[in-house]
Amino acid sequence: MKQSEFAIIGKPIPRIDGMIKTKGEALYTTDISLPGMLYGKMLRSPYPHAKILRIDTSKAEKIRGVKAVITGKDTPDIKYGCMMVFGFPEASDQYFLARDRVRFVGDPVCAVAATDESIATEALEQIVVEYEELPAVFSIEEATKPDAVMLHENNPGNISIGVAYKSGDMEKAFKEAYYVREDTFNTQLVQNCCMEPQVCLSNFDSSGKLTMWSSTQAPFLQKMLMSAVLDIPQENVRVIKPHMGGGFGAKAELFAVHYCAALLSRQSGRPVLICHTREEEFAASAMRHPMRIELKIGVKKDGTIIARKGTNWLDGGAYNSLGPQAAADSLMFLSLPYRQPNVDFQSIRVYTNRSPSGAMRGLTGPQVQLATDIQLDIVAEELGMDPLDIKIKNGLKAGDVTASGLKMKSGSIEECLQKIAEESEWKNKYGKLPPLRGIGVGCNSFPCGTRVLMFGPATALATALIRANIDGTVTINTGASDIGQGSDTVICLMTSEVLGIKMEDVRNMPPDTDLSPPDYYTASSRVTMMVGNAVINAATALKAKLFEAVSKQLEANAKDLEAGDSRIYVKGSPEKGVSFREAVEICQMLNGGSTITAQGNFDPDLGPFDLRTGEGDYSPSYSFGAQVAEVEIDPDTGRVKIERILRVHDCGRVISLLGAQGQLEGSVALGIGGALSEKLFFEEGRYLNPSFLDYKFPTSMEIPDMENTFVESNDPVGPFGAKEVGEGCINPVAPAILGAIYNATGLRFKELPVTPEMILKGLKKMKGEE
Amino acid sequence: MKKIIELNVNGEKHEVAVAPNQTLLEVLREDLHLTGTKESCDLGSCGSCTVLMDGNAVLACMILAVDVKGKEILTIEGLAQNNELHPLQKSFHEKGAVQCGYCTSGMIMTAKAFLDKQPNPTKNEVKEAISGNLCRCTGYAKIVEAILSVKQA
Amino acid sequence: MRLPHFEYFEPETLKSAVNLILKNKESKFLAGGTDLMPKFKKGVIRPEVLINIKEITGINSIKEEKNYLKIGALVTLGEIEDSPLINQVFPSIVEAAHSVATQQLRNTATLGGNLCQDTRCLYFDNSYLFGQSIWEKCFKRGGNVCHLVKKGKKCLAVYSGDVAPVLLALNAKVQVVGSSGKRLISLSEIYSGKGDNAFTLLPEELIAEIHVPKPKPSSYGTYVKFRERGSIDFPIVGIAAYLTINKDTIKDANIWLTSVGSAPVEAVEAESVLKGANISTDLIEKSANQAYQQIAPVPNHGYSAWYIKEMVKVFVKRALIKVMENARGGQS
Repeated sequence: MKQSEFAIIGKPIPRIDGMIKTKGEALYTTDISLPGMLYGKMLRSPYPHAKILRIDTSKAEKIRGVKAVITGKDTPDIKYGCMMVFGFPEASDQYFLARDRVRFVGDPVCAVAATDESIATEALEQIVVEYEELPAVFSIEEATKPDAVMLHENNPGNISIGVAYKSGDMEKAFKEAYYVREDTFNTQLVQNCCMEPQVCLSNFDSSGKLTMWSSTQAPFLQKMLMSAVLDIPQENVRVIKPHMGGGFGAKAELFAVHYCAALLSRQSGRPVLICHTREEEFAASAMRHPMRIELKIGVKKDGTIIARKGTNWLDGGAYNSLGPQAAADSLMFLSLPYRQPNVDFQSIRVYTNRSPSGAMRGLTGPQVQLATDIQLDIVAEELGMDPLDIKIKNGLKAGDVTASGLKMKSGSIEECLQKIAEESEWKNKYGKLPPLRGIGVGCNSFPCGTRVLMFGPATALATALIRANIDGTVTINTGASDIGQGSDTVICLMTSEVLGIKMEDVRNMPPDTDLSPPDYYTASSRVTMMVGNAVINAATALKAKLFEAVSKQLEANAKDLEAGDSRIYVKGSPEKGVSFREAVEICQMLNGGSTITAQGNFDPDLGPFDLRTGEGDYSPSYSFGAQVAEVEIDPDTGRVKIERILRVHDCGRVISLLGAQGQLEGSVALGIGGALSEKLFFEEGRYLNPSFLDYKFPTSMEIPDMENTFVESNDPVGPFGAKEVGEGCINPVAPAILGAIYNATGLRFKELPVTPEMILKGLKKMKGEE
Repeated sequence: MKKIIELNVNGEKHEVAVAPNQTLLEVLREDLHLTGTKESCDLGSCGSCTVLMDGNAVLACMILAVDVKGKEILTIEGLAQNNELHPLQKSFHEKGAVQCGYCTSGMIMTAKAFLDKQPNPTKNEVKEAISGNLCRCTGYAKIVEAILSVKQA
Repeated sequence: MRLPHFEYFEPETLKSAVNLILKNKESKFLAGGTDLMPKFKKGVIRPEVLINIKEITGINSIKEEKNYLKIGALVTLGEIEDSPLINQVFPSIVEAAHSVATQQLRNTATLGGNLCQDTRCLYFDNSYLFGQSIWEKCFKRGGNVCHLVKKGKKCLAVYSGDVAPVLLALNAKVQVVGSSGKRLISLSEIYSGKGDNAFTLLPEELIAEIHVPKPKPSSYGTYVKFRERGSIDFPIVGIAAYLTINKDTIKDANIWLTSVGSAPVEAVEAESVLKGANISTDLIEKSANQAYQQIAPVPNHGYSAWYIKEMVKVFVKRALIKVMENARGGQS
């Protein structure tokens, strides 16, 4: 990296909201209170599957302080599905307040609003609901049995959604292959565990306008969905996103929290706040899809993959949530990050009587990558190859187009692997470590935003509005949600770089659907790529206007001007120029006093794309990465000690150095939890450990030293050449760790999490003690 | 029945009418409007609501407000003195130890109580000291680094 | 999550505390609150009256007497960790106290409360939503089924306190105060061994003080805790070992385990193998095997009985090795 290339990009600049967060000043949704505000709570089904026979709320209504009580019959008869507003209307299958049937433990049945939380809780206890229990299914296997009870009448076989893609001559390829094998992998439920649970403050005023202060990754999507499920005009819904205590995918759609807060507010005429308890968060927030992945691979003698067949079974829980996207993404991840000329892929999402699975960092990527990488490890071993070499041999690189049409635009798996091999001293370690110590490697490639046209073809993939202020600052407004990952800082860094002003002089407007340009959502690692490009274009357009005005003043050619150090000046003669503030003033004078604004968007021509088949180019570009884990196994307890984790990530270009490192470190920690310890005990539809005490997500004691290296492949589409850094890094964590466990012990695991008990059992079995 | 008690928070005395079933966390956030202290698990397992009571890190969600009279409470809002950030606040900000920020207040308060007792810790001691504060964003790496850098300062 | 309404008292003497609890049905003592509050918030317990005993004077200090170290029941685990006296005389108590939960909880959790920590079970601790509303009442809720082991005949909730095994290995006594005054009993007597009614104390009785006999010369102890994460978690197994060693001969041995049953369990066979024997690797192995043979754990919190039993062997061994190392280093 040339140090001089940028003024501010790539430097360790602290995030824009860091200081107020360290002072406890940043306002999160629960920190806001409005006059007359009520507290809402929901009564949830204790049964995994039941008919509702009767609901009696009369006692609750009489309690002093209770201001509103609602049940399903007080709601419009409109089913929700996250993708009802973009291409999958048939996937709507959920009443946020059950009308006649509940399908999971935690399915909301009634909601109350009261003057304080204890009164609301007391009111819930006074509501009588009579249920008639129905048979229930709790796994993919149970749900797909021919005689299984159906969760939804339009979905025979409990198939919620299916997508498939096929290309090439599979039969011929498998026949020609030197070696063919089939494996099945299973992954578990994982909870997002945002430190801030789902929360919404809603105010339905008497003009019919609904304002929501919502902890959401998707203000505009929430606005559209809320309008659809309440049958009110979109222009009557306004969503404002305060500071957010994490999202990870959990907050990428609409939940009963939002729905009930709105309806309770409409009924009571007062603002209503609903915040999940931690237990409700486990009960009803979005979780990672448990998956069963069946893979068949055919390779040449030298390890080159010639064919791959894959079936992803996704345990979707009781409703679709954003299931169609999850199914489509899981199909895409089968295409990454290795070259496969002949493919036959399908993804089938299945209904079970459990809380709906939705999005979580990596959306199906970590599950699929586990299968892909571990199977390749096995193939390598069978062929007498080093697993790292087989991954280098097959890894995608710039210029490659996958069978389904994903176009690799920059970087390569090979470069990441070569680098990590060097840094981890792979060749000195693989197969050469003492007993019970091992090393493993995983790879990844991740899209930089998916192409979801929820606003229709007339709206760009991202839009940024920018305004120069007379005080020399600029205001940037994109609608993008910073969910804690730091995208606001990235936006300000980019604006600052283009305009040559200090980052402190860039004001970022938090999303407000009444004031911001439309933004799709913070998901699929799209913000840097898509919003970033729009920001650069907006800032560049603004700069052109200022240059134009200044050039007149300086009697110079606009082409000869440059912006830097908060000044606009003639290239090569910094003294011949004006301050940025003066430039704004000059520009306004020349424009009849108008405020100087500009906009930019991002709308590249990426060719056709079909989410239902996965055919076409999914994303503007794809990141690459590799990860190496070194572990030591305690043979007495089966415990895995991760000695260190090394990461090489090709993010195209580092924009915010601290932010990018933080994304890698956070992904690795999340990945370690998913690989080794996070497990929800699930019995007869109920979670037994819905708490931070008994659901073991990693503490500071479980996280090893982590080393990050960035590859900057300077992507042709990415803003300043940048690609994603927020999600791809989680995908290779589990395969790297499981590979290392195998290398250390000879125990090959194909499921998650790998617990000490499983390892100890395995070791004893090998020794013949079991 | 509410009872009027005197609470000493951030060096200021407050007369507050509290019911026995209100936790310190509720009174801090709802009555004193000190919303910097966060509620996350509300069952004593995550550390988000950590405040100092007579200099010791405690969980505000596990303590009844009526039980706090006569004690000195310090919250994140009371940490910066004369508009100067506390060194921990400064280093958390500068080292990138903050992402979503929801665990940050509790994390900083725990670190403060720890450094007050142990001004010169090792990396492992820092890891152990914050092990009662869960963070889902950062992987703890930059948090540990931020606390260690205060030690060196 | 909000607590329901309750009546609240702050007695200043042990006597009035006992009287208050006798007068009020459905009442509970409140000290550190770290065991009570989460259960109260989840609705697992519903006391109508809380009697905060923290204002009671005289039971919140650490005193050294001729034959005993006396620790007030209200002394917090954090205070124990910081006590130079306990660090010097009984480092194993400090080890155990330090291994409990998190620093924040240790700063409020009291020793008395920790010893009387209720037995745990994922089914019992589960809330209204996840089962309590519709499940048949289990033994611990006054019913007669067990959800953990279907068709089980008794409650199998697990006692998982960390400090008790150490104090038991040290032969500690507790001063119990009740309606008929004070009595001094062996700590082991307060544990009933029943999961659903884990303590022999009457509802109005409370522990006022813990008396730990001064160490015999050449005695060495330790507490070893195995848990899933390096913090927060209760033990999968916890082992306290306390040995008196003369040269290479073990004169006396006390080994207590936690988290393997509804009360702390003394590894009697493992102890007897050690008594009078000379230290050797084989001996440690043999003792650990005896513990393995004796202990019959129940599956809990996701760990199988098989695994817990295996861990008993591993960690009894590790505890003994650690004690031997302490002995060699001269650390009591």
